[in-house]
Amino acid sequence: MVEGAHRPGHVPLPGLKHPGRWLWLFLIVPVALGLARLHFDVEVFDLLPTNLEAVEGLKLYQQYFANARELIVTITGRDAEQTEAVARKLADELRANSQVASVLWEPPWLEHPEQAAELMAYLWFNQPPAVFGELTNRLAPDKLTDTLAATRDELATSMSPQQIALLSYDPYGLARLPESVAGAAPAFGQGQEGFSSADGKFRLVFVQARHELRTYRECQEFLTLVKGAGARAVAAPALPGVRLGFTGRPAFVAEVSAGMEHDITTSVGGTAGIIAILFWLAHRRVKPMLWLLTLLACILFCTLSLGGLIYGKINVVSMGFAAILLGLAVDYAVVHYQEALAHPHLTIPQIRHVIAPSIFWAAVTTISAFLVLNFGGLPGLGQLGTLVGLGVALAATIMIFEFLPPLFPGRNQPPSSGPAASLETGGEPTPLALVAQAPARAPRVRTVAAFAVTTVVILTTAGILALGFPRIDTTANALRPRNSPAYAAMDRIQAELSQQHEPLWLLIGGANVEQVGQRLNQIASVLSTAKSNHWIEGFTLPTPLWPDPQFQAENRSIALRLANEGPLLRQVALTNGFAPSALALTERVLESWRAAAQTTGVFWPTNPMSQWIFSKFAARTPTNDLGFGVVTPVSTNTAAVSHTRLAALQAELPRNDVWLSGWELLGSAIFSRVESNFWKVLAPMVFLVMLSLYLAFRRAPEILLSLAVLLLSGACLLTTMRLVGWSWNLLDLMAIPLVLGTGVDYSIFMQLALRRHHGDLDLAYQSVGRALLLCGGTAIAGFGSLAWSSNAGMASLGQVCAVGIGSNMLIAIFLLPVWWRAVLVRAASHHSSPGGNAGPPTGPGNLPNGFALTEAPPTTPSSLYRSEFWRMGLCVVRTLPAWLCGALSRAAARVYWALAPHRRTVVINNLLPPLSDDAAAAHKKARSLFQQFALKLVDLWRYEAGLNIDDLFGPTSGWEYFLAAQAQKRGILLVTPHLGNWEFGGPLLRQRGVRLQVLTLAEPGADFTRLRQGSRARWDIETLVIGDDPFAFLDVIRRLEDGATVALLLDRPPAPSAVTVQLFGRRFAASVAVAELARASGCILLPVYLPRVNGRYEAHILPPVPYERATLRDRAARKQLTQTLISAFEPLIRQYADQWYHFIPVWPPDSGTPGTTNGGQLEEALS
Amino acid sequence: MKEYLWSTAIGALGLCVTAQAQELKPQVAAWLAAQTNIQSWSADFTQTRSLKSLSQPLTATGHVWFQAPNRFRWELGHPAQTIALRAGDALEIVYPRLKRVEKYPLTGQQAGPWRDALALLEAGFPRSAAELEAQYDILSQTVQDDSGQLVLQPKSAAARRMMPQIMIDFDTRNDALRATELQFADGSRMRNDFKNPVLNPPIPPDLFAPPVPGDYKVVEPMKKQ
Repeated sequence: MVEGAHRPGHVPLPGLKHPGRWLWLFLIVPVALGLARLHFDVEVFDLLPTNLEAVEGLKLYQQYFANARELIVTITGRDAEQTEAVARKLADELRANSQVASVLWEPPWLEHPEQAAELMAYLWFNQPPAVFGELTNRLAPDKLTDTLAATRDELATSMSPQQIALLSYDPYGLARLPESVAGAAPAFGQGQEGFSSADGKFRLVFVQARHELRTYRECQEFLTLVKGAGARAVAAPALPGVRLGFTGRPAFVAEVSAGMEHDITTSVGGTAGIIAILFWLAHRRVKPMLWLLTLLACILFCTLSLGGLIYGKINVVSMGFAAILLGLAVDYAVVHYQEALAHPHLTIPQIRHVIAPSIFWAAVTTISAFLVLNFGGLPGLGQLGTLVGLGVALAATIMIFEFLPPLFPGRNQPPSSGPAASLETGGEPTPLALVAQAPARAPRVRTVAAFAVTTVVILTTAGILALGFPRIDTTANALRPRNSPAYAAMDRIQAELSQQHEPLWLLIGGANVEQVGQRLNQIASVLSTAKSNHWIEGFTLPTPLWPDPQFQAENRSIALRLANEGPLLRQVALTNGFAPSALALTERVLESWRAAAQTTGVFWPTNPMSQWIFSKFAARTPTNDLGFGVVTPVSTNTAAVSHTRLAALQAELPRNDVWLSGWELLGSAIFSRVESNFWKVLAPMVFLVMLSLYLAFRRAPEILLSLAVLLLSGACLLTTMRLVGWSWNLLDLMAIPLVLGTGVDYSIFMQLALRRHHGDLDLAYQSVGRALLLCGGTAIAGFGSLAWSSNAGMASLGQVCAVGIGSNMLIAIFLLPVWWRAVLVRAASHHSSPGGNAGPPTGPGNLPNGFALTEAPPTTPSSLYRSEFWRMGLCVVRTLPAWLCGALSRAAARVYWALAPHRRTVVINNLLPPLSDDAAAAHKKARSLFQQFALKLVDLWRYEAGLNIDDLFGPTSGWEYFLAAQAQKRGILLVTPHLGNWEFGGPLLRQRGVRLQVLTLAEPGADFTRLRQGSRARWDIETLVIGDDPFAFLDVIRRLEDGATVALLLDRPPAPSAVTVQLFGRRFAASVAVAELARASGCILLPVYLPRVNGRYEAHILPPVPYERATLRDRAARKQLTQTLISAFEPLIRQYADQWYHFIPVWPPDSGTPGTTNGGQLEEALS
Repeated sequence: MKEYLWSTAIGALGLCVTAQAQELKPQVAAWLAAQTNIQSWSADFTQTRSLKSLSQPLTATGHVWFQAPNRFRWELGHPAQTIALRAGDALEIVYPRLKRVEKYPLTGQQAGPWRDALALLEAGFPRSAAELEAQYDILSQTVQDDSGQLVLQPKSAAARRMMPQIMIDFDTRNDALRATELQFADGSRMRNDFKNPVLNPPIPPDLFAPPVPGDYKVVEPMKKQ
């Protein structure tokens, strides 16, 4: 570490100032708005993707057929009597509670048989007129006596107690419904069916709240109320062995919300605890630990609020974001803190400057990994991804600017201008790092152990995976809560009420009752065929009970006539031995018929019992009607067969307004959606991973090593899943992009550390490995804490991510360094010994000298400098207005500044000498240079696109020198550095009638060279491409001798024409071609430059540089002339440093001392 | 729907009676012990149904055959208008006038209502004290002169809801069954007075499983669609 002094090629560190804490105030408004809008969504269905038939069906069922206010209590007792007693007692107590609207503990028709009359009347009224008409025959006045006699006879001889009981109160047999209705609705008529198991030991009690249960707290309170009543019903007298269960929407909502609270407290609390412990173990300091936890709490709070602002409702799955975010956010603080401790001489702004780019990139990859979850097809998981992405962005910003200042109050000053502190290790690799000496240690034991472990891991994973991969769970179980008493109660209901297979739900919609009725008939036919084909086991449709408006209209007159016969029926019954009480049912039926006859539209029964029954299969909205039926699938051992059969059934069902749904279909449908969307998630992540690896390394061996880490950790993950029996499900499939996105960072960090430390394993471990352990540990804690989530899918997602990231981390820290050495040392040996004779490695870290493990600065132009982009630029400037092009290009330059640290470093280095090694000034000028270059590029494209550029020219000076030179007819060589927009000299001279010939090097690619030649030709400017061929100059000499005007760049020459001179007291490569051409042609040398000043390009011609042609035969004289020329530009370069466009290093290593002359090839050619 | 309607009327008539276990009187114990000696039994009976919905009782006569352990045939009316047959785990109700046979399983989920019906038909034929006490609580035991009366309450809540009490009248001199009376929840009663009993008569097996004439319609109303 060198402090206070600057060495050539060594980047002094500028600082990243805090932009102002007042900026955080802008966060207050969105956070407050988000808080106000924030609600927690506990509906499982909201996690599901849209536009899926199964999902839409479920949502419709939930909306119209599931009673949101109804809680179902299950009672399991030792015997039927005990169970019934508890049910009755519970019902009695709850009915006395003002919060309860109704309680049903047995079929309503048993408790209120008088209400059955209306339903009977409806069913008769809904029959075909011919059937209803038969009733009029039976009840004809002359047949009444016979009918009653038959009833009495039956009452005397029937063996059925039920028949006796019913006929006693139905002397006219109105309860004897037509076969079509009686046979089709058996579910409503068998004692306790639907309320009790066959043995009576299991009962259901339906409890409906008096008010809507809108919030989860209301659901919790209602559940508590019913639970309390249940406990009292069981407790006094004590009924051992009686168990109560609770299910239905209020129970689910209460349970899921409690699960959310539990998840937040356990996973967040647990993760925060682990973070605190790990931080304490690593640093043993309380203040930073507490400050870290405080900031993490702020980040969580703000993220949740912003999530509320974006979504309004945060669902149960998304709450898993909190623990994940904690585990990720802490990394940014840890890295900062580690850096601050490691470099106590650096100010906080300088540390920010060093760390911010890496945090930025890490955050970008992490945010991207989570944001792509939005493409996965599961809205809940997408929301989680967005929340984590949002939180990571917030965390990165907060940690960069707010974590360190309170912990190091004395280090808050930004760096002063002038020679600055610098960083030798960590941060961006610098040329100085190349010569850093690291001890060479690579214990053989460690190498052997690492490769042994690698071999064992590979063989073990291969062996286990050869037996099979983790299974794929295509069900929707991942969406369900885990250990859910409400689901257990629901499953128990299914088992006890003998529903051997979970039924599928069939919802039939229509614009009106008639349309639904027609569809029901159509579907009944399809289902009958399906049943005969054994695609399904059975089905129940509400067809017999569904209103038939046409029949009803035709039956109105009959109903009225029968209703009017009431007095006669009563009189005849009494005279035939029946008591008045026997006629109750008859009279109610007649009343209902009278009411039905007076309706004009569709007649629906209206009493509570009928409403209860109809609510199970019919729903009416202002615009639509919906019917509900169930389909029992055939039991098969293989899901594939079941899916095939159901798919066949679905294909036969009408397409419009018919939804076949259910958990079984839901799982397969969602899984198919997730499967089909998976590439949208995985492809961006793979691209992102490859891009980040390329940007980080730009070398195949290291990229391949990172991929090897990912592959091996993937194999470890699969093996673990296989061993512990985990499966891939709807949610944990999304772990793959997350593991890729977060796991790849470990191998990148580790290999970059190995580069910085020249392969020293210990140093790399000390500097980065331990930090990675801490960061990885917190990430694992964050994901791992989800294993205790109340949601099954989130738990599996957390587990898979924790194992995947853990594998990545451990392999990257403990195995990768040894692999890296083995691969890179071998490559280095080959590099040092062409022909493959690898000699013993030498130099730092046992690596050969000159084998740059540290990333070398770029020595070639950016890959963006190519014909494709150039053409794109030409197209853009032709299309968009100039101001917009300027704005876009400046924005692009800002992005490039941020994304290309290597290029940025080069430019800063280049500007240090002209700016007296003032690091801050160099940094500032470099940033300005990027902006200036962006503007220049747009202007250049306008020029090459043939657009009018007259408005771009500013004042000129020194034209008289040109005229004087022109008058001598010796040929003019215009000499300029890469300063300003030298290209504009051509059009400017053309304006004044001078035809210019430009000497250039070949562009990258023949096509690009031709493109630029063509562009200049449009302005009548000839391009002479000399490339690396020194003999190309012979043509130039001839033209100069003919009096031509030729332009030539003086700095950054090609190697054959380079000569080392002094510029700003440093060795500098300039083109000796100018001196050579002067010697060969005797031309006049005119230094020119075209800086951009106030938005216009000024052209300045300096006085000619005199020389003695004869003396130029001497090499030293030519070099001196070159020196004179370059010196002429020195003050101008200093003045327009931000327009001295060099994006590759212009100062050779060790440029402080004069070197030897180059340019021998050119001299030879011209001699 | 039909069954639902039956249950509608029946189900409204709930009644709970708390029963206490009692020591059996010697005459009652003797009658119960004698039941084990019955291998078969037949008798004529007169059935009187006193229904609350009717102003006058309904009377019908018939004949009953019983074969241990649990086979029976009840014929009601002359000629028989209703025949109830039990063989194993099924109950058949034959309606000769309607030429219809209804079969009801006595096991499984749908058997509940018909198990209750069975109680009506089997009341009075306990095989032992243990069997009696397994199904019923004894509400009272009355022995007067040569008459013994047992008042029973079904232990099953469902059966009790339909039929809160059963009375068995027997002759203490010969342990012969005289009558049974079943009380329904709404207060209606059904009484069977037996006469001409025959103990252990030979009964042809096909009496309990008669062939169904070809023109009869056999239905299983409880079978699901």
